[in-house]
Amino acid sequence: MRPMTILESVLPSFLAALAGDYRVVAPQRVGGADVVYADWTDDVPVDLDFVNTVVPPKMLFFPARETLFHIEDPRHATLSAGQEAGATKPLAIFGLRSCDATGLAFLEKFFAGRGFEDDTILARIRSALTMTLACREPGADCFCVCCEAGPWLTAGFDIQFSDLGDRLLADVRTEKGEAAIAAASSLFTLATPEDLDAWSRQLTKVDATFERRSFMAAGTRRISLGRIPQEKWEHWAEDCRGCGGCCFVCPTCSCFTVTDRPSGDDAFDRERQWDACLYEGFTREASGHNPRAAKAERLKRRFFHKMSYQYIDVMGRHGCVGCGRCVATCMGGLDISTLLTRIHDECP
Amino acid sequence: MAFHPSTCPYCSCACALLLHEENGRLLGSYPRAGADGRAELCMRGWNCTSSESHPDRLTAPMVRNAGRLVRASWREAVEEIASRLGSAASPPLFALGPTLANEDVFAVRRLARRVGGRVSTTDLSGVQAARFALRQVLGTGYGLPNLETVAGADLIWLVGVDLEDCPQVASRVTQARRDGGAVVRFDVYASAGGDGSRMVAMPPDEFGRLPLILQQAVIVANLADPEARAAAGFEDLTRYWQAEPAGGDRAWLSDEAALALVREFRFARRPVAVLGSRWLTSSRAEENTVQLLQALVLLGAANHVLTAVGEANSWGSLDVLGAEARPAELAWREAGLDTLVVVGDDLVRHSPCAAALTETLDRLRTVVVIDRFAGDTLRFADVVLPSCTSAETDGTTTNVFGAVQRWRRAVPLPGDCCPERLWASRIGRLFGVEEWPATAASWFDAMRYEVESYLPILPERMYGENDAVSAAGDDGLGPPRVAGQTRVRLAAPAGDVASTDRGQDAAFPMRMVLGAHVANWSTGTVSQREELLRREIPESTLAAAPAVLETLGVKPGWTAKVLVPGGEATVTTRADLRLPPDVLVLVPLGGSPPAQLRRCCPGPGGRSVGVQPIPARLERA
Repeated sequence: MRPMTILESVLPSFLAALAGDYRVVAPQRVGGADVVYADWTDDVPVDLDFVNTVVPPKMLFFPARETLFHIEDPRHATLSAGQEAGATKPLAIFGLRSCDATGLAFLEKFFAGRGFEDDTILARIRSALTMTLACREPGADCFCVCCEAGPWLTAGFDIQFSDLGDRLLADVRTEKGEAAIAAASSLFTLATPEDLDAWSRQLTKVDATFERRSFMAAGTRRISLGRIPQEKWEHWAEDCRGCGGCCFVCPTCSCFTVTDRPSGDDAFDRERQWDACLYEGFTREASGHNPRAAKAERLKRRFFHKMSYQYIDVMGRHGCVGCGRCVATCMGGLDISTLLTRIHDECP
Repeated sequence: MAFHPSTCPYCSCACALLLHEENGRLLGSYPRAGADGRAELCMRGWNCTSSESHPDRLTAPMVRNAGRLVRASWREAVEEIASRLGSAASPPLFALGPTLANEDVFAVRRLARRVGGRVSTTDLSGVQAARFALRQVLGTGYGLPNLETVAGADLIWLVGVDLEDCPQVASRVTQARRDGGAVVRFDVYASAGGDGSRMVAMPPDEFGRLPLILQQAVIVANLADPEARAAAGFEDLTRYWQAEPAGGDRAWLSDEAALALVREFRFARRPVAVLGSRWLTSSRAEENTVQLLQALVLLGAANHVLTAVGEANSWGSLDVLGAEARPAELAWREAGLDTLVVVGDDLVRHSPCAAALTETLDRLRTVVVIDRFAGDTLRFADVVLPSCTSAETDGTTTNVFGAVQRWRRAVPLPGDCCPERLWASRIGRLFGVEEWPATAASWFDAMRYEVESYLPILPERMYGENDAVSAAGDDGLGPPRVAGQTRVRLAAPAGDVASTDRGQDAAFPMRMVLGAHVANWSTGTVSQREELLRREIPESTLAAAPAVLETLGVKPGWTAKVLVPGGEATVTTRADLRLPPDVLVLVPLGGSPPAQLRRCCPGPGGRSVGVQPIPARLERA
């Protein structure tokens, strides 16, 4: 489909047209400052002027906490699906950043891979209409350009919007995207050569404006070859506060734990919750033995997993999309970008 | 799906967070980005949602019957409590934990007054000692302006601090170290200094010596400000140390070790001190903390002090309870107590004196527990009422810096759970009080008329879109200050603290303190002692709050006349945002006319150390 444009002023009408078939989610400000993906209604302005959301959109597909099923009576095991599992409409996400769209594709691969498929999460991801919004300028923490994840995409979305000022250019890549545009075709016009020109200039310009860099290749090489002394990990780990924030804000982190919570006299809910590999209990075994009891071991394993194991053995790419959220959330300066810089500088 | 801006309930850093709710359930808690773009939470903040449906959650009232706690209706439970409170042989004791909203503390206090009871706090992080010392020495109810002051420090004194307990402080200490700052730890655990900081291991029973040794360092290193040195009190202090220079029970570190400490801060420009719970809950903590703060100020060794971060709303509880509050650890030991109401804490699990406490609980006629979780105290309870988490109620909490912040209700109350203020209202009605505020906002409105520092905060502002409102207003002066107290007050180490508080009157409505060290502490811009001070302060200056100068029609840099009983001088003025409106700080050059005003400082009992407040007045020259 040839690129189209839509006036920013009629964007709400487009989202309203989607609301019949989809649960429409768009970036919105909460409390005046923070941007989150939340249910869109026509009385809430869509925010196009934001760097990125506080938490990645993985929380829409893989919630921080969800009930997998409910057991009324353990003696007779009457099961019923958790309340989140029965969502009726597929999601339509507007304003997804390129890094997060890449993260979503990563999650899809994880939850579909290695002989185990998580039907619930895969259904949510595969039924969703993903409408990305290419970045006009990077944030101070962003380094997606080092991770092949942005600031704009060539694939991995249904529609990619680019902000051209008073209008948005829509690059449609899938049938799902075409159907969405068709539902509100009167709002779109074919992009002019000037539009395409402006678009091209914008993409070239934003690529050159990143301030933060990340030594992904050097990190992968040195971690894979074991060229980082154990003392370094121990020294760096002193700054880790074990909050787990780096895992929770990461668009590619998918670890979870499962617990049973009482929900009545004889009933309980089986819940899935985000977990973090930097938590001491993450690898603790039933026997009490913990192969990664020391913080340094956990930090080392996290970086090995993201930079080496996932890249070389499993996913074919790093477990990082350069969204920069870990930069903002890590209290100890142990985010991907900063630590890879330290690896580059201190461990030749 | 909805996102509710709220505040983390787990410590008094009170980080801003977003509660993610869907279909009446909490799905997640996420950090909110600050002005600097940081979006941090510790492990507790990230996992706020787990408390809402915790397996130990209390959801129904219970009354003990034939030795067992059995489920009861809220009306039965409340009537049972009212009956027991009404027939108590001695004034019931209400012990309040740190997790209550300010409004709930206020409501329980009102109930306690109605039934002739007393209130106390289950203070395990030493907030009371910290508050007492801050008020006595610095004239403020709270510590340093914000956590970023720690991150920007070039020297941090950690005194009895367990950094694992306060990750947000730990992260700022890490940042300061990464930027080249030095860290000196004083602690009973020698292993605490494993991160490369200088470690001074202190035997637990020697905590009280630290202020003395810091004062000794001033004398040994010849560091004291000349103005202070010439004061009567300082000479006494010098004699005090010279009498037993290296022996007796005063010398705790050698002179050499003291000088090593001095070298740490000699060139620090932004030193701060962090006092932790291992210090603040040690024996004689109040007295020791007063002396420690005095020593730090005397040395110019800390521009700012951060104290007692550990618990959630202990600072707000103290604000609301005021002078009525006594530590529960002291209150429940009193003879004759027969009724104890424990609100928002598991006393048995958390008390450092659990054995003595359980003995007391065993002999009490009535124990009532109002809490969210079934803890160890429950086995002594006669009646139990379920309360709610911060995500289930509206309310306010006060952080360690004095800002009042909002908890916003994000999910419905489970079972029969209620906020403590509603339980207090229900019980109170059985004591004949029909009129109780109905909403959190109306509770706040009622409360602020009885809590001086909250009075300026309008309920519509607090319960509007604002997440945090400073009780000091928006004047940039930082946390609330206590009217009629100076910013800095010093006493001799053996210290009669109260004796330094001299009265003001209509002729001299302000207070003036003397000396470069005080100015240094107050402005936080200079601390390289005399040489640097001379460069920075080439002439005698008088610092005052900007509003004071504006009222006089004097611009910073212009001269003004300062009058004290027995003298006056004309001096160049300087605006200092951090000073309260009734305090002046004079930094006189030696031999200049303003220096003569030092003679007017009486120094009660010959024990002052040279920065004694003098009643003063400021006029346009």
